[in-house]
Amino acid sequence: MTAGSRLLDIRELTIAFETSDSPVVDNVSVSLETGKVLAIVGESGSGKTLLARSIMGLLPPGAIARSGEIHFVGQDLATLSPQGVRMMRGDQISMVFQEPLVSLNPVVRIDRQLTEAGLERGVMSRPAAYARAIELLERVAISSPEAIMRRFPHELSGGMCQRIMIAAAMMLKPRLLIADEPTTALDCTVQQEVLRVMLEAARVDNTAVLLISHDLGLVAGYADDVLVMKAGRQVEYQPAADLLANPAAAYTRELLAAATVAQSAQAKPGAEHTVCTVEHVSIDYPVRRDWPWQPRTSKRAVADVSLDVRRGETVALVGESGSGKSSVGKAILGLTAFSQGRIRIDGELIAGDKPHINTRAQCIFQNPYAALSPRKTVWQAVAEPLQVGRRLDAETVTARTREMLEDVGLVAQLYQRLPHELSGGQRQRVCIARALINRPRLVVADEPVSALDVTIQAQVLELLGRLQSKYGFGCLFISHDLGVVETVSTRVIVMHNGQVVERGDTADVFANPQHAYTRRLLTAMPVLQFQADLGYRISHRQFSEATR
Amino acid sequence: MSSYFLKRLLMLVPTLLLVTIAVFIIMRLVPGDPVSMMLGDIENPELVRQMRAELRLDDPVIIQYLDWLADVVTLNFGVSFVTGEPVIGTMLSRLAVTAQIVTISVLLASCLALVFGTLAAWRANRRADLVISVLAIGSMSVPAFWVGIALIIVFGIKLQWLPTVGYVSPLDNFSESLQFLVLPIMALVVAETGGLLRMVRATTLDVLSKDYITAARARGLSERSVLFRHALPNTLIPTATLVGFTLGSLLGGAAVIESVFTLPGMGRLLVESVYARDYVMVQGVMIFVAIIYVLVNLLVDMLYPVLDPRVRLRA
Amino acid sequence: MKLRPNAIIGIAGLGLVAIVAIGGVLVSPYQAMETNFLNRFATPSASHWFGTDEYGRDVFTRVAVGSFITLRVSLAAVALAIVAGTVTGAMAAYFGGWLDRAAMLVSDSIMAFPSLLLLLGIMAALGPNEWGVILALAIAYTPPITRVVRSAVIAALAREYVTSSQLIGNGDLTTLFRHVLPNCITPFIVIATSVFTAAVLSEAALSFLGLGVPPPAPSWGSMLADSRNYLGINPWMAIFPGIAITVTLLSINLVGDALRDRFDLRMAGGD
Repeated sequence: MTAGSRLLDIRELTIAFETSDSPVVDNVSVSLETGKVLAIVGESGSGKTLLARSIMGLLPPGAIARSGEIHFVGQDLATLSPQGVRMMRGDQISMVFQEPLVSLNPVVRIDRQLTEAGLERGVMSRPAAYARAIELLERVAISSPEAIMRRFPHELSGGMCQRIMIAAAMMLKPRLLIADEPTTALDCTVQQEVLRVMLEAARVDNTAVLLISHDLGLVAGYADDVLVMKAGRQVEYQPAADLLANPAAAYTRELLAAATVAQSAQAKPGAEHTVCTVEHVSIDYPVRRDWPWQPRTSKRAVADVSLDVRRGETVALVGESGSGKSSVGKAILGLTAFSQGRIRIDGELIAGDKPHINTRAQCIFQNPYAALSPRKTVWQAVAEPLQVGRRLDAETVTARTREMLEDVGLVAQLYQRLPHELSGGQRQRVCIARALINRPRLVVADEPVSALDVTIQAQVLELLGRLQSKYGFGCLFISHDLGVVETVSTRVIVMHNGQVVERGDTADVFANPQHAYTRRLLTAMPVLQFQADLGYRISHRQFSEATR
Repeated sequence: MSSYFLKRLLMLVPTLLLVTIAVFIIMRLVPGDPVSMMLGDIENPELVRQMRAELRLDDPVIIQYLDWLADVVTLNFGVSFVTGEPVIGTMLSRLAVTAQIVTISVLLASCLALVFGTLAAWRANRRADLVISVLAIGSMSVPAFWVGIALIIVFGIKLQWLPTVGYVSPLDNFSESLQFLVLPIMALVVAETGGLLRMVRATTLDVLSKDYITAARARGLSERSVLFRHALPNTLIPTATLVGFTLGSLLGGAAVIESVFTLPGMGRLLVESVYARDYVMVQGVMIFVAIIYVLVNLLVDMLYPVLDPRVRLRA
Repeated sequence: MKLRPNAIIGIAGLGLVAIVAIGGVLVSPYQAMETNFLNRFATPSASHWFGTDEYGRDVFTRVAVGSFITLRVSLAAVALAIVAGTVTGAMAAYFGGWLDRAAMLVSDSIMAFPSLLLLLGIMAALGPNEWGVILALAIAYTPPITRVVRSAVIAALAREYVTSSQLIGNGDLTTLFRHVLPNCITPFIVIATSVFTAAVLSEAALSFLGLGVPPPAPSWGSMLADSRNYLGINPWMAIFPGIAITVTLLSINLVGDALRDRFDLRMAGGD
């Protein structure tokens, strides 16, 4: 096969920002044939998004292609006029973005967002554009397309919006579809479905797909070829099957290992001592009234939840967004009032709407950036809990702060930095230090690694496990990510629509789920397994109804 | 939808009540007794008693307030101390003058701000943006009344193209009235465009960084479509608030420009009445302008559901 | 610390105003209220840099002295408004409930008047005097600060670091002062600057209408008002006070822009 017959051919592409000498995409070469799927996998800062955007001619201001060529259907894109590049967008190459809710214009109706590109360039009549839009909406499995066409984006769910984005991208039958983390912002039961629907829609029109993701386990099963990138460099580029069977680069193996289920390696059974008991707790949130004379009503967010966490043990609370799992965490921390039930921390009853004494329970938040005061240094953030409500002499404060910072693996050069000068992983280490410095009995970790890259996730989880063995706190681990849960927890509680639908030892629940919802969650998650002679293999859990 | 409107209307009631109380208190603070002020040098205890009774000045303060409030609600603002004419009539004729110059200038300023603000954001940090931004901050920094005086010096005195003071109603003589309106409108446009423009620029800049704009470009839309069909409708939402705010505040606050060009407008009426110690008129103008101002802002709120489908749904 | 061009121009402008103000008072051989009927309506010259007015008073000296009055009045008013607005705004947002509703109702009512109208009304009641102007400006400009501080605090309160501060046992006031308010600095600077320029402008407008600091004290606004009757004879009378107001406002606006950029952590680098 000659280079000319390739659909997309990127040769030695280097992209850098005007203000900096170090390239963000460094000498990358990759190609794609008609109708095939290429996955580009990397963590944040790997340059994968800039690589994709450079194909569209949509680099952010300040980023420029320093050298290299991008050929599309044999033509060097650099030779095209801006007008030529624009005419190619949508028509030849189109794109799906990560956040569906912000990628659709909130004040423009769905029908116009779908049809406008075809109408503007005059390649479709209005009825033809409308018919094509309906056809595509059906193809992405939207049930009543005519009604959806008249809606505005905010009236639809994230999954719906992403399907519409896919339909909009496919309107003019492009030859290449670029999908930048198309499912990352979606709930896990929806992710697989949207990905499948997208690839199917592309296959019908024989459109090639460039799939960009941080999740090697998710995309490797769908891709023909995989390019792994790290810090702008090309780490590994091979057919997906070969890559899984025999990953060449150490970094690829690291990524695969992070996504592989390690059979409860860290999870340890708890001691007898119970640090947290939740008995039949229900939480209601008041519904906003339109008028003061309307009766007060409330919505039940959590119904009759019971759980307990023992010393040194990690209990996972699993569910999708809106399942009420975070509300339970908040109630335990004394951040939200509960209408029924009792919560005890270390034997003492707590009131619902008053944060309690800091030595009992602390929280590690999902977003480590928002959890740190932007104008407080690392040292200030970690030392502050020691200084609340009692007088410790300066030497003790200094000694304990330094010890804690060393425990979480932060080096002295970082102590005077502000949060925005730290990486995501470093920020989360600061948050962990701040939470643990007073040696709480219970730690509520609310999606503590969801905002982090997979290799960083592994490091932070390892750190949490190590600190748990050292200090012996009980941990309530709230997460939607079953892979992480399987690694860290001894017991798991599954929540759905505010209720507990399943509970048990992690190994049992994962091997033999009882509730239909748990099974759906588990089947949605691809499983990456490693066998010494065959390399990595992707499979999906199968449960027959008979396992009940 | 109608519940949204109703709610906005009802929310005004406490605000407007407080407004009347504020005006009532301010007028109570005025030094001197209204009756002796009205009667001037006349020494006549009988007449004083009669007038006090007529003005109900001997009633308890709360009763006086409620009486006055009832008058205000029925748009009965009383009779001027000075001219003896009903306050409402004078105010309406003065409002007509102010409304002309203010609505025209705000309309012009908004159009200029939208066009050049969008352009500046689109060409952010290029030469066009720099020029526009410098002009905008200049416009924000020059007082309208000084621009007015400068315009009088240039066009009225040096070039002698236009009359500098006075007013003719457009109903009497349209072309002549235009000659009187050009300079005040120019002065207001020069001084008001800058603030609006900076707001449009900042908002558009923010909107242009949104994913839906990149997505629109990725669909191959022309820059014109991206700017005017995708960015502009989003920019309009916060801009409408500021336009309403500017319009409302100029309806009462154009006093200075009216006094530069000696236009018989609302603001100048207030200033004249303060000088003449015509407190019935001052009181009337304050309440009346506050009501207009609140209504203009309400009108803008009513526009929100039209501009923003998200508000439509929430209501 | 690297200064951007707008900061340099702004600081230079404020410096210029200061030099004219201080220099004018120290260097000028004339007094602000010293009349000289033999030399009325003089055009700018070596002996009268900005010319003279209808009483033969030196315009340069009057502009200089006027800057003290304008800046004194607006700074005092803005300081009052900032203290009152920040306290009420922060309390309203943090404690919510009836306190919030009351604070918003009062703010809404004050803001239901166009600011100049409110100022004229208050000045009508208080009569023209310097403290009256300060008080009136403070009343008119407290509500915008209250609102901005309130919404900035509400936004900051939604962040996890506030929850984190409560969790480690910090009290309400500690959380408010240590973790919430420092992170509201950017919108605060924006509103403080815009209120300051509005105050300077309003002070000039009030004196222009004869309801500000009473004559014969020189004020930029009243100098402009006086000049209107003599535009045909000596337009310079109108030009210099106007330039003084414009340069002052321009400088404050530029410095405000620069401060806003500087306190915005995202723009200060990193991330």
